[in-house]
Amino acid sequence: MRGLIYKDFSVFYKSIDKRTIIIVVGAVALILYRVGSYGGLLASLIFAMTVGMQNIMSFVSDDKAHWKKYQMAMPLSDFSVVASKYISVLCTLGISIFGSIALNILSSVISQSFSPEVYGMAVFMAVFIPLLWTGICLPLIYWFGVQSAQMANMFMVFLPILFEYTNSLPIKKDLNLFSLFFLAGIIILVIFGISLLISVRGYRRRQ
Amino acid sequence: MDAKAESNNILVRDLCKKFDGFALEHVSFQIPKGRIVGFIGENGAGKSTTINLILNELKKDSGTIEIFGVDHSDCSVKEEIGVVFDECNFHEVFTTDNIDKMFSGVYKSWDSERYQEYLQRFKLLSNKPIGSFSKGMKMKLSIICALAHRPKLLILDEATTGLDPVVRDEILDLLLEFIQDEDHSVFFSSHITSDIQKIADYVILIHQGKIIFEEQKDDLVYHYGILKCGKEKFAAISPDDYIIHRITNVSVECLVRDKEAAKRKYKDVIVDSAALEDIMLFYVKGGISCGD
Repeated sequence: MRGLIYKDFSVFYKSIDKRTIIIVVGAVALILYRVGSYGGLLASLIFAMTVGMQNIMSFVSDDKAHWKKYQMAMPLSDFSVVASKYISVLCTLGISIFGSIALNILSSVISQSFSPEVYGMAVFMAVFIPLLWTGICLPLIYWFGVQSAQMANMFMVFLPILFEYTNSLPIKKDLNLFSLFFLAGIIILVIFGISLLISVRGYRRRQ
Repeated sequence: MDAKAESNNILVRDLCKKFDGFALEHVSFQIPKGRIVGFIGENGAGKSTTINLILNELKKDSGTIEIFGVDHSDCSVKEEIGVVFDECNFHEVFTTDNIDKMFSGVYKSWDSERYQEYLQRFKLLSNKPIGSFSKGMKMKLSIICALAHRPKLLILDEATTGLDPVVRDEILDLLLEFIQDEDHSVFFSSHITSDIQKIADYVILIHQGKIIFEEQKDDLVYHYGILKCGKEKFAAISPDDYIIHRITNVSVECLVRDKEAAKRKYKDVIVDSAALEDIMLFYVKGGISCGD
């Protein structure tokens, strides 16, 4: 399983497209310039989405190499194959959290404001969005193929649009960060657990 | 473990698998220890399906498959199997070093030193992405990876297809080296019969999902022959002396099991040696079996 986690994390890192970087940097710069004190939060959302989508792109890369066929000839149980995917997604959360904090610091410097609630929410999104996204997309991949996840990826771009136009940031003045993280932890655990089980069942199917 | 399972690395009995428009029917064969077994047949004959069933990548309808005397669905047997498919399945962004690190976390018996030795021997650069490799280099890498975890059984599915003769020859040499250990076996599927003829000890021919024969290669290439005669002389040839015959525009050709015996019995006809390809063509393209 260790080898597959290494493989997935390496594919994630190595298959980052330069065009994606340019688009994300451009979008983040625009957001930081335009949005003001919540710019860091929105930029974190974009970055977390990019991490989530990049995870899916690494699965597309598996599909391109017909990796599954090769992997099935290895001494690995179906569960460990699928679990390694989920663990490799967890490994990428470090990147998402680090990016989120960096973007919020940048936003604080630009807007000359600091709000611990915004930082807390940004880190929450940095964890929650990639996990939610892969939690949805991985079962789709194992049951219906990579194309279904690519389709789902397309819907993800509507998220920031919705976020910006409704201007309904889910931050309350009496926000308790501890309860927020606790809630997020429970939700992530449930979604990931269910998603893992569905994915294992999907992977186990043999023609 | 019974004696048959002890002397064979793969034992397939009555294997059946049905798809829409194609069925593998009661396939039985064995891969003895210390032997290279060539698996031949035209495209779509059932070679890859059989291999995928052996590797438990497809679900069999019925029959038994034992690898090293254990049911093939036990994933621990794959620790001792090296598999090479007809294409390189590594991500193009990887380098050979990435593959080394990856497999050291997959196979308990992965031997990094051996892997590096093979890379040097075949001059595969460690810092270049695999996407920059030629097809021959990619296939060599696939075979090196299959060998570097010290397997007892190598399964190759059309691994030499599309390669130039030099690379094919290098790969065949590697297989002959591997088989020096008498516990090792190679199951080598290909429709390039010259490769099989070069290195195989046994040959299995599959056609339309059925095993046509499972014979020692030397018996096939040294004893089988093609008897050629005119249509009028064909009437004098006993159906017991040939397996299949085919009628061309000018003559009749018969596949005979013993070319020397045919030469002795029928003095005024030509009896040529039959290459593996000729034998396969007789069975696959058809002719009329002497039993028909």
